[in-house]
Amino acid sequence: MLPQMHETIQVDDQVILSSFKDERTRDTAFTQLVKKYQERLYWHIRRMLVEHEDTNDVLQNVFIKVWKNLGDFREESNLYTWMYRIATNETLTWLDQQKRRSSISVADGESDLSNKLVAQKGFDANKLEWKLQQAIQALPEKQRVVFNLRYYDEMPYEEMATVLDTSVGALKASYHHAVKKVEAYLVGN
Amino acid sequence: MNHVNDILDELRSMSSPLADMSRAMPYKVPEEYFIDLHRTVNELLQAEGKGIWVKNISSQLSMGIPEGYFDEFPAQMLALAKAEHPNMGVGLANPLNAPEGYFEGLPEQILAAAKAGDTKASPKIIPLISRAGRSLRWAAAAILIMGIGFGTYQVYLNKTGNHTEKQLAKISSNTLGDYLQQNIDDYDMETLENTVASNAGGIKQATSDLDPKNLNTDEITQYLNETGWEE
Repeated sequence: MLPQMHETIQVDDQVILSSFKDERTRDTAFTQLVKKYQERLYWHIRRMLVEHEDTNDVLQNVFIKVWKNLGDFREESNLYTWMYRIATNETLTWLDQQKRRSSISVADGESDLSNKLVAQKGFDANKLEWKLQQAIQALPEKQRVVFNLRYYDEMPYEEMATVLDTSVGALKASYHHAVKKVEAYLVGN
Repeated sequence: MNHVNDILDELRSMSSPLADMSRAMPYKVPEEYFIDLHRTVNELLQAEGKGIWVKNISSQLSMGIPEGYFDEFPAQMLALAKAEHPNMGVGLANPLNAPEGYFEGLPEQILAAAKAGDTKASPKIIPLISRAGRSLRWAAAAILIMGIGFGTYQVYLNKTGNHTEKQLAKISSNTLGDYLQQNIDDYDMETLENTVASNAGGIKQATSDLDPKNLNTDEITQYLNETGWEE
C-alpha cells in the first residue's frame, strides 16, 4: 500500500510500479516516484548544466517523459537506472540544442558553462569545491557524465553501462582518464 | 555492496587526492524547491493533457498557479488591451472589397496552383547515364587532344625528316663520300654494315667492298640519325 502524499518514507520501486499501473492510484504513485528521485536526478542534471533554471526545465521534461513511458517500462533494468538514462539523454540533448541555437562550437559551449559557473551565487575561485567544479566542467561532455555518475552518484560500472549504453571497460578507462585530468587541473590551478 | 567504499578504494588505488576531498556541491538551490516540485510537475501534466503547453509554470513555488488561470488568460489579455488602448481597431475598417465568390473558389485555385507548382518545382532527376556522360565527354576530349598532339608530333618528325632529306639532297654524293672517308671509323663501318644488311634483307656485304660512295641517301640519313648529328 502506498503511503499518503504527505508521508515522506521511501517507497519500494516495485510498489510504485504496481500502483502506477492502477488508474486509481496512479497519481499518488507518481508523486511518490518524484519525491523519491527528484534530488538525485536534479543534482545529476545540475552538475552538467550548472544553472538552476536550466536544470529545472530539463528535470520537468524528464518527469513528464517518465509519466508518459512508465506504463511501458519493462523492468529489464531497475527503475533508478532507467530514470537516470532518461535524465542523461535529456541533458545531453538540451546541451546540443543550446549549442545549435547559439551556433557555438564545442569549445565555446564548454567555456559558456564555465562562465555560468563563475556567475553562480557564492562562487569563490579560491575554494577547492569551486575549483573542482571548474575542473569537471573542463572535461568533454560524455566524460563529464561518467565522472559525475561514478564520483558523485557512486554508480556501479555495470549500471552505468546500461545508462550510457557503453561497455564497462570503456567506462572504467574514461573514468580513470577523467580523474587524472581533474587532478592535473587542480594541480595546475 | 557498499558503493561509497568502492569509490574511495578505487580513487586510493589511483593515488588520487580526490579520495580525501569533500564531494559536497557548492551550488545553491531555491528554498523549498524540492518540497513542491511534484506539484509543479503534476500541473504541467494537467496542462499538457488539456492541450496547453506551458513551459516552466512556476520556478517560484511559493506563488503557485491559481486553478483555471490559463483558461481565462486570453479573455483577460483582450480586456486588458482594450482598457489600455480604447481606440484600438477604430478607423481600421477595410475599405477594400473582395470579388464576389472569391473566397469560395480560393481553396481549389490554390490547390491547383500548388500542384502545378509541384510539377514544375519537382526536383530534376539527373539519370546516372547523364552523369556518366559528362565523364565520357571529358575522356573523349582528352583522347582527342592526345591524338592531335601525337599527330602533330609525327608531322613534325616527318617534316624534320623531309627537311633532312632535302638538305642531303642538295649535297652531292662525292661530298658525302669524302666526308665519310675522313670521319668514319671501324665502329661506324660496322654500324653501317648492319644497317645496310638489315635493309638488304640480311645479306651482308664485305667491309672492304663497302664503298661509302655507293651508299644511298636513306642509309646515310639513318646512320646519321642513329649516331646523332647536328645540322
